Order: sequence, then C-alpha cells, then structure tokens
Amino acid sequence: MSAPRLLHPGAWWLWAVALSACALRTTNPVLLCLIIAVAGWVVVSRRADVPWSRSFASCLRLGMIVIIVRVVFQILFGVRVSGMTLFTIPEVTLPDWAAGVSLGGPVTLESLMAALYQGLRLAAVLACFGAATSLCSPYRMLRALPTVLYEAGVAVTIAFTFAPQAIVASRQVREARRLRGRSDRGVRAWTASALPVLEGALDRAVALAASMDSRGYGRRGSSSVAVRRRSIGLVLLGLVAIAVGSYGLLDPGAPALFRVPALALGAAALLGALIAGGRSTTRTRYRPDPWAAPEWIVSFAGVVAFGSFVSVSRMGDALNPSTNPLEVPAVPVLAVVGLLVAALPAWCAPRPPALVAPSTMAVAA
Amino acid sequence: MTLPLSQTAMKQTAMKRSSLRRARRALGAALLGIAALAGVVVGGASPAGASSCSGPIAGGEIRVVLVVDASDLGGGASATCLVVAAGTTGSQLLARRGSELGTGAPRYGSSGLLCAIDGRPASGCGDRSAGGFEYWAYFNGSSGSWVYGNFNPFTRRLSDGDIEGWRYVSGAGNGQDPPPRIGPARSLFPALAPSLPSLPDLSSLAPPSGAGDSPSSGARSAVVPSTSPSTGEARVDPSGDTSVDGVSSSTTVDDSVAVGAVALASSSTTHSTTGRWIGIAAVFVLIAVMAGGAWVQTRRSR
Repeated sequence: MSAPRLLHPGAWWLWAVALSACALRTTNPVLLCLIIAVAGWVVVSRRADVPWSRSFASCLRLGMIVIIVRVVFQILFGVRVSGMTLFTIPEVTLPDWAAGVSLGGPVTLESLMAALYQGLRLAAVLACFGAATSLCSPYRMLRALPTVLYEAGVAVTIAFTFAPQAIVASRQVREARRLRGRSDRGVRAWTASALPVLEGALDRAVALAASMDSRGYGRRGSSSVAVRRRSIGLVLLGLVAIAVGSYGLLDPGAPALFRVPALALGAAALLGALIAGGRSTTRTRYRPDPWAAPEWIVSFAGVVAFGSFVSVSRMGDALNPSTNPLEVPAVPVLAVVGLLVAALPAWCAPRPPALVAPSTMAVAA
Repeated sequence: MTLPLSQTAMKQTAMKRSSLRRARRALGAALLGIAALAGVVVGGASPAGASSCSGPIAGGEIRVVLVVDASDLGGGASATCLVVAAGTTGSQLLARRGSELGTGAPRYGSSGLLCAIDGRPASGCGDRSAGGFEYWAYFNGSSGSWVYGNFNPFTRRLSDGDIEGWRYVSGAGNGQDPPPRIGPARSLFPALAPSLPSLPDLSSLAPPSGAGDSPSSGARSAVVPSTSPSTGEARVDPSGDTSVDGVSSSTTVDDSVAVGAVALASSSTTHSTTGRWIGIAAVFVLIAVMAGGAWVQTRRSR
C-alpha cells in the first residue's frame, strides 16, 4: 500500500501486548492456537531480514518446552483431579503438614487437558512476545521510549535488547560449534551452548547500555541533585504502580484496586517525574519515526481483538472451557472475528525496506 | 459421552444394593427423625436423609456421612450417609453423593478447585467477594467437632465412620471460616449401623414428626430435600410411610425416571457438541491456511 518503511516499534509492541492480553484471558485451546497462528502469519508477512527476526521461531520452540514441562509436572506433582484415569504412577503418602501436596497417583485425562490448556496459554504469550521482538528493531524501540524512562536507562536497554541479542548470540555459538566440527543439533548441543548464549547475550546488552550511557542516553543535563533524586523516586514509584496495575488488568481475579487506580497512580507519578526533572532539559530527536495511519491501524487491530475477548468473557464461560467434567470447547464467533482483525497488520502495515546487509540496519538505528 | 454411561452403571449398582436393603426400610423412618432433629425444617418441607448405610456392611466397604451446607446459596443443609468402597477419596464421595441423589457431579475448575456442588453456584469458582473469597470450604468432623480441612479431597482417603463436611462460605480462606450448620454428631449415622463407637439407642430416637431435642449443635440449620429425582435408595418417603411394598414400588419408578433423565441429557449433549466440533474444525482449517501461507512465503523469500 505505502512505500516500504519500518513501522513505529511502539505500534508493534501495542499490538503484541494486546494479543498476549487476549491469550492471558483464555484457556480455550482453539482460540490460543488461533492467536499463535495470527501472530505467526503477521510475522512472516511483515518481518525485515534482520538477525532478530528469527526470534519468533525460537519463542515457538520455547513454548513447546513450556507445554511439555507443564504436562510432566502435572503428571508428577499435580493436584489429583477425579475423572477418567489414563494410568497410575506410584504414589507417595506425605505427612499431615504437607497434606495439600500430592506426589504421584492416578493421572486423569481431565488433569492432563487442564495442564495442556495452561501450557498452551503460556506458549501463546511467548509467541506474542516473539512476534514483537521479530517485527521491530530493539534499537528503534529504545529511541522511541518516553523521556521519563531514561532514568532507568541501563535496565530498560537490557530488558528490550536481551532477547534479540540472545538470538544473535545463539546463531554465532552454533556457527562456532559447526566450524569446530561438532554437531549443532540434539540435546547435548543445546545444553553445551545454553550458557555461552545467555552469557553472550547479557554481555552484549550490557555493552550496548554502557555505550549508550557514554553517549549521553539517560542524562539529565544540568539539573540539581535534589531534583534528580525526586524524579528518580517518582519514576520508581510510577514503574512499580504500573507493573502492579498491568498485572491487575491482565488477571481477571485481581481486586479492583490493583487495576485502573494503580495504573492511574503510576501514570501520575511518571508525569510528575517528567515535570520535576524535565523542565531543565531539552532533547531533540534525529529523524523521529513517524506515527501515521498504518501505526494507528496496527495498534487499533490489537485493541479490537482485546475488546472482543473482554466482551466474550462478559457473556459467558466460552473463554474458559471446563476440564472437569471435560467438555468440547466452544468457539465464540466474536473472539474469532476479533483475532482475524488482529491479523490485518499482515496487509495494512507497510512492507519493511529490503536491506543490503543486516549491519547497515544496526548502524542506521 | 463416557460420563453418562458411567453414571448409568452407578445407578445399576445402586439398584442392586437397594434391593438388598429393602427389608430394613424401617430405618429410613429412624433416619428421617434424625434429619428432622438436626435442625428446623423450613416451610414444612420434609427432610431428606439416606438410608443406604444402615445395617451390616460387606468387607471392604465403609460408612461415611457427608454434610453439605449450601444455606448461603439458598440450598439448605443436608446430611447424607453413604456406603462406599474402602479407600474412597473425598472427591469420589462427593461424586457418589451427586449420583445417588441425582443432583449431578460436582464441578471443578481447571486447577482442581471445587467450584460447585449440586450445581450451586451456577457460575464462578472461588471468586473474590467483599468478605474475602466465596468458596466451598472443606471440613472434617470425625473428631466430633468440625475441623477446617487443609487436605486435598482428591487424595484424602476416608475410613469407616468418617464425617465429611462442605460449606459454601464467604471468608478469608483459613480456619476461621464458619463450619457447616449441621454438627458432626454420631447420630448422623443410622441407628443400627454396628461397630461404630457411641451410637445412640434406637429407642431414644424421636418419631419422624421431628419433636424433641436437637442432638446436633447446629440448631439454626435448615434441612431440605434434594430437588431432583433421586434413586430410591437415597430418598426417604416424605409421608414417613414405612411400608415395604410402597417403598419398593417407588424405588423402581424413581430409578426409571433417573435413568431416563440421564439418557435424555446424553442425547442433548451429543447434539450441542456436533456444532462445537464444526466450529473447531472451521478454526483449524483457518489456522492450516495461515500456516500453509506462511510456509509458502518463507520459501519464496529464501
């Protein structure tokens, strides 16, 4: 539709966060599979040819591991749920003080399905995170962050660039293994490369944060110590309140106080920090990313999907199918339509520009 | 689909057992008296109890009383005595009670938390309320007073003479939450059940009219009958009639009604699941199209 350009990273993150909020609201396996499919479709359609665009596949693999671990834990330590017994593993009788815990015993189809649904939900959230990381450059995301977060400069840099750096590092470690004539597949290769990959990714993220710090990222200019302390305190308060508020918003069982009031408090604190500290500093941006119609469409698509999930959950239990007694999950049409709207960015977002080499991308950002 | 079938099987075994105990019908009246004594009868409704655990039991079986107090949900409180296989767990006992009384299986959340007994509450599971949480609290009364249970009903194995209690409460979710309103008295067991400690004398029991002192501590409790058709075994004739013939005929009628209801329920579920399967198939076709398209795109870009 429009000329090839990179979409504003904030739009992709908004879209992905809305999609993962949908996933957190449901245990319906059909909808969770559809969420993963939608995220994958958009990633394949609109990702640039850069190293971190492969993080979606890694996140899918991680999701598979999560599901397997969840099911195995259910078999070994899970709550013994009544129902159709598939097989029985040896049971350990625990003392009275541990009466709420069970170890071994009959494994029922109902308990396995419940574990599978929960694992699938986490896998869907991971897929949404992977979609956001593959679709936008972490460096551009750092640039687009609001000025308030500069106070937490190093932490924010590491948080946003760790996952993409891990993808780059894992590629390099695997290449190095291959050059040394060792296999890069199988469990042994995985365990042998896990530590170098994590260490390398953290090293790269810290190095990036250090270099950004030395270039003035997160500097407050010529503000006094008292002003700086006040604004740092407000930023901390605001971040904690926003973390609590977003948790409350995602968990339908959380008390009402932890939802909108906490978010409002966080926003007010961040605004206060901006006013307290930002008066003395002026900041300019070199070639700022535009926020135009495609950005609005992409973020709106995510919000529409989330809205459809909220309204479906108000109408009934379709989002959380019962596993005891086991029932065939219903497919709420409204939620499916909402997720199809969330797939619109695959057509509405501009194509990423074809790059000559990935390294120029990093330099340009 | 498997659930209704197993329920039918349970009903059949229940029928066999009840035919064995028809001769001990008089105990039904005795239990009726106990149930009436357990509390104030609401609106002239006749109390429901169970007669299934009177008399001698076979080896490998145990007698357990299950008290369910749904007063806060408008359901009243009831005590049911059941004969079950040794090693039965608390959750199996609940399921057995549901099938004997015909009130359906309890509903559980995906985490294994008990959400509803007898379909109460109709929706929600351990939700937050002004007073903390609204949930079914688990109690054990084998010691003579209610002890808030921190046990897992799926693994807690019962023994002969145990008294189990569930009450729908709104509370903090700890031992301070109120226990069921029917006290865990030995008199909840039918009088003739042998070899249980400190059983009351049959002659001391009041007639079914309900006059007399309450043997239980929960004087404010309300005893109401089960609302849906139940098997003859778990039901006491409201008129208090103890004639053997009358009971046997009502048993067969009740059984046929219950089985018919189960058959109906199973056919209606099949109907609704077909629609759901079509919806699931449609969504998975959509997912397959997306996955195929993604694969083609990836191949082309290489």
